[in-house]
Amino acid sequence: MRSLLAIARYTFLQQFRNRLYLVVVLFGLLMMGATLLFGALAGDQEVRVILDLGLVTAELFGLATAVFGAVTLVLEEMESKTIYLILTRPLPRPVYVVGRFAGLFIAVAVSIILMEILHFGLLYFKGWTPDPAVWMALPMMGLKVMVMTALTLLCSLTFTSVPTATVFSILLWVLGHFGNEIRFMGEKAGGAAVTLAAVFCAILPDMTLLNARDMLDYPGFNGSVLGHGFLYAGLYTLACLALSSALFSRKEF
Amino acid sequence: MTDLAAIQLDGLGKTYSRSHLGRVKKTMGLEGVSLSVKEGEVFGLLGLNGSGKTTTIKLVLGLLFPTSGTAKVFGSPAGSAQAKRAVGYLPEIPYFYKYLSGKEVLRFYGRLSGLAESRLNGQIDEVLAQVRMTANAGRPMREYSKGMLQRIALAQSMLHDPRLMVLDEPVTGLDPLGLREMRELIHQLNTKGKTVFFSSHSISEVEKLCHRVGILVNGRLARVVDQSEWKSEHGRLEEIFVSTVAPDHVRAAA
Repeated sequence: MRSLLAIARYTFLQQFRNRLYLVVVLFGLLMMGATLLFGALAGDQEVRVILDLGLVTAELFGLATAVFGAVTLVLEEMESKTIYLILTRPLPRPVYVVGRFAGLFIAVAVSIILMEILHFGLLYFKGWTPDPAVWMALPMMGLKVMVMTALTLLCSLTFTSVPTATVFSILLWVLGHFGNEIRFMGEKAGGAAVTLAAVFCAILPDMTLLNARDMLDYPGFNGSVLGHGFLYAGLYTLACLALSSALFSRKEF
Repeated sequence: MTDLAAIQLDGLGKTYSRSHLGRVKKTMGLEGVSLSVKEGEVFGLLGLNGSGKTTTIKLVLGLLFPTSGTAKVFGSPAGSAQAKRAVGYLPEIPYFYKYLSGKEVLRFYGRLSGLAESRLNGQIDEVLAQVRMTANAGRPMREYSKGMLQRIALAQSMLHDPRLMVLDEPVTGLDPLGLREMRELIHQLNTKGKTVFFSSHSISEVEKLCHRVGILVNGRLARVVDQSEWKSEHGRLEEIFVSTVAPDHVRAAA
């Protein structure tokens, strides 16, 4: 446990002192400020535009930090050989994987919280009345980022180059929003394509389950959506971490 | 001290497999290496580039997995937590997290080594003083010179007071003063009862420091030489080394 905390703590510190991370967070904060401009163009829907754009900005910048962080953390560590000095210590390799994941996820969560503090500050300034559904959208955003952090970590251990792992992770994230469309196309094609599409969709992260942002105005949007999201994201993250740990335990350096 | 060998290699072999577009290319890195390094011994590994020195070290550390044979550290399988607890490793080139300070890096490795919080600060101060880095320990590592990085690398390897020090090319790239300091340090560690296992290209350094030397040729342990075989005659180890790695060269010269 102590080793896991040490890895998580130093991963967080490493991220927080990384210029790229700081630039992305700063840019995210600037974009958040810029939602005011878009809001001003929206007439009587100003608050709604600031709310939606702000949530999108926080999620996208959070995801960017998670993907680039997860890819560079492990692959660069392998390339720079700093990993030698960690793996020659008496810690099981899965502890390294989980510690890296935890530290990075906390760093990304902090960046999202910072952006959301500014976001809700702007909304408050514009006279927004707090909506309980929005408070539910925030943890769902965190779950999405958690899934992507674990998935990108898995990609970075499967592929040996930073660009391949990055592109693949982003592709999986995009495809994860189109599960229904992929299944529909499989059914249209018929035959083996139906099974293939079903298997592919089962492997893909189902981001639609965590897209609370888009469900804010749906009548069925309630606590059970959040519970279902927590369960799905938790299991998906665990599966990614288990696979990453298995891969990493067999890796030679 | 125990009767257990600090390092016990039995028929150790490593074949590297590289696959490209479905084709698997196999390269032999090490083959049938059997060796026993006693506790308290300073053992040097000599060999030309690609002879298997780093492969041997990585197998002892558990960074690579053997394809044949076994490697044990104080009786525990190489790479196991118990074996790792007994080992301090100094890599050839010190790679660190540039965003952390020297002290933060040591605290990190200390925690990973299982050092208790109550002992951690005291141990860090002690090793920093030993490598003369106390004054610069708070600076970020990106500001360190190569020599300073080497000192921190040394400090991290000694931090948990290991019984076995594994040093990969510890004298490569050092200036004459650094070379002297490294020699003194290895000597000091050995005086304290530590076993030192290191690889090197520098025959003169190995000659000065080692009790025994293993010579690797194309992944095989061609010869183990005892100090008594070279001590009496200056330059004798070099002769032994050349005649082992390049016998044709010796015959041609004669």
